[in-house]
Amino acid sequence: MKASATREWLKKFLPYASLLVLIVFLSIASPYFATAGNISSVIRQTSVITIMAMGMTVVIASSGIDLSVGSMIGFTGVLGALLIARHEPVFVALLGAIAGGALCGLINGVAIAALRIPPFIATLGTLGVYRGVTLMITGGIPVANLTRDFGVLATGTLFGWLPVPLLFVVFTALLIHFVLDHTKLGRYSYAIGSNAEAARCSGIQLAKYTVFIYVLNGALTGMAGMIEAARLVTGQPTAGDGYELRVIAAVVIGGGSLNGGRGTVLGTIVGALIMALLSNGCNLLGISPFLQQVIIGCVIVAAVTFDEFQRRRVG
Amino acid sequence: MPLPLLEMTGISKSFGGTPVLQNVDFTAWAGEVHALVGENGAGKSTLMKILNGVYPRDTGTIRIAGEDVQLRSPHEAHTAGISMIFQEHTLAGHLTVAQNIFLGMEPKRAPGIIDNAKMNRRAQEVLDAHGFRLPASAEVQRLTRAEKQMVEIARALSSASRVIVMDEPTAMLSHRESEELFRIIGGLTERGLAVVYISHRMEELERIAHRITILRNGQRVYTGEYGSVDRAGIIRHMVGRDIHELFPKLNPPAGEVVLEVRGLGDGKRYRNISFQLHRGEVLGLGGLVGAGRTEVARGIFGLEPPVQGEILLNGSPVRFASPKEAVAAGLGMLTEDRKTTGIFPDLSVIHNISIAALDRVVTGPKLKLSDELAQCRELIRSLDIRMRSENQTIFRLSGGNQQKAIFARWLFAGSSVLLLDEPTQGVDLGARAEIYNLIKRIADRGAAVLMVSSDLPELIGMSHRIGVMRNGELAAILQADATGQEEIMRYAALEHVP
Repeated sequence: MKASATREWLKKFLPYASLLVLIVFLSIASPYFATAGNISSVIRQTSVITIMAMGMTVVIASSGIDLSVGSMIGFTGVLGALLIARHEPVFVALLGAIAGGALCGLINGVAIAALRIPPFIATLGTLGVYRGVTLMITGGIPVANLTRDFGVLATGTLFGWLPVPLLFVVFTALLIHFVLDHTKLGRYSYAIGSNAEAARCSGIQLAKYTVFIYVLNGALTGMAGMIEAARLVTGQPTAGDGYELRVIAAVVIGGGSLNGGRGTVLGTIVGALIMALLSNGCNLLGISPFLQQVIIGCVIVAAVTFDEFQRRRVG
Repeated sequence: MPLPLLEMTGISKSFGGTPVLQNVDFTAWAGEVHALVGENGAGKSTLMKILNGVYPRDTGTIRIAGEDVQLRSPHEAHTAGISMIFQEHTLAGHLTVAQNIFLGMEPKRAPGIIDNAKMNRRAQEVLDAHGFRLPASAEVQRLTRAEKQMVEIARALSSASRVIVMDEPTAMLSHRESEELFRIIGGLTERGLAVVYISHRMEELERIAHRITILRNGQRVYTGEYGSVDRAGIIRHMVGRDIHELFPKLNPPAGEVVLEVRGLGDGKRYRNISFQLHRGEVLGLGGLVGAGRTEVARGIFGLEPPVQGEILLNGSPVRFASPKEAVAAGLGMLTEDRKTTGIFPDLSVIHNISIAALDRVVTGPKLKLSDELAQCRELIRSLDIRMRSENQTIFRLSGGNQQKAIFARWLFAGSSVLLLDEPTQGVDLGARAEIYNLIKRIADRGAAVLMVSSDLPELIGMSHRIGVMRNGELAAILQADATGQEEIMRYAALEHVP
């Protein structure tokens, strides 16, 4: 009993402890790490992934997965850029991207819930569909020559120091925290992920809430897609390629389980930060980008191994 | 004097500093059925897992036919002649019966090449020799639970087993299938095997066990000839106190009809089911496994909506297309398999309780967590659900406490009709008495209860009336205080009742 309690505790705090160790190590190893400039740049680089990972936390808690989010970044970024190109206000373009993302999420959710296709396969399919549609819309050419003020979403600051993307991250984090801990949707997400059949027997409408979960994830990904486009000041049809893996990794490192039933906002933020700092640290310490990929890959495997090991000990 | 076949001496084991077994001795002689009983958590499973090489022991020795054995892994235990038949099936569903029986010890034509013909032939021989009417070539996932168990037993027999451990082997079996199992066990002991038989069902133990060992809190409290101690004595040893009445006295039902079904059928597994369920009444539903009892309950609850007949709730016709609609109308269902369809293992006890009726604690989009907590705490207290902390996941609770939490779920939802499917399955004796009291309390509060059960004493002791199903039809509805096990079995098993 005592040992299992220790393990549970370890499981809970390992991501935080890892992050702390990483920060302390990098502060000592590189004098440039703890500077305002570096920290601000880390935040800007990681905000798109972090926002996406918030939505993915809900999806993974419900024992789902969404592989199409990288393609959605391209689609919604192009959508937003096209609206900007038509001289719509930034605000309208942002809403357009969010709506576009929600539509993608709706398609995913309906495919999974109504057609009863496993999430992995359904979103593997839409990963190709959304990217292909984006390339068809643009003919493969980036939507460029956009007004500079559009870039404010990614590069702007508030009060001269607060990066605008951080505001989006904070807003999303608070929203998802509220959803997970204080709404039926959140509670049902954990319940469906923990035991879908028991959820059905408890009177939860699986199809309805599955669709909600993917729409929410799509909408947040749309928001992230707009920020990504603003960062590039271009609607890149190839933007976001491969992001799905980084997003899923952030959730899993932060304590989410691909078996469902678990995952928290704070954990996911820590997971995203660990990924970002590993990458930043490698750059600062002059470690080759090739080796970086190896290191990050190993961290992901280690995190999942730890999770599986826990499960086995408990089961 | 001959040596015992199995001799475990001074076995101790602790997990993380908590002693689970303390200096336990256990012996089994060739040709005997040795009952191993104790409440959940008494250490039965741990003792048997040590015997099976799953856990290493901290201290103690194990001898098989007088020889010291180490048993560092299940493979070593198997080689030493120990086979274990677990409660939960450990078969590979996609493989055939023969492939499962010979899994890991397939007859080879050449190294690495399996002799399929020989394997199928030998598997069929094993099956036929023990009277298992199963084709060796059948795919295991298509078998019934009882047939799967036969495969498990056949697998144990195909190796050179000397000691066979059976953990609650009849939990999933119908009466007839259990009889079959007892016959098989008789054959095993005649051939000089020792059978260690773990069960809570005393009717069974009385029939087959020669000796009994009782564990309590990790210690051996009794070993002797089976007849040397009566039921009350066994219970006293198990729980360390007397349970005078396992079943509380039910009050007469309050009156009006709450739920009525007329001519219900699903077109396949049950047909023409009609009964009335009154306020404050417990209607038992008995019959053999596979007679359609569970399907009727699931049909009423909207899990697999029936296609014939009608359901009336408080006099108005209803048709639930999904559990969502049934729950909204005031029904609740405790499903047969707690692990796969009952609990949410990753969620806390509180979240497990409130899940079916979150609308009761919601304002706008927001859950009122403090209301939820207060109401759930009250239920946890009044149902005496024992746990270490409120945030503990339900997975770590004992079976009885998990079951009480699921009762709490439907109490939280305020259900006026409760469908219970095998409410005490996998629940230890102490908690069983608590669950019976709980069912009585629920009925006393005016809820109507339909209780599917394979446990005849439970049906008789805990129902006002008992519906008996046979081959998908309701063969009879009997008054519980005027019937007995034999009459129920007659309706359940015979085509024509004289």
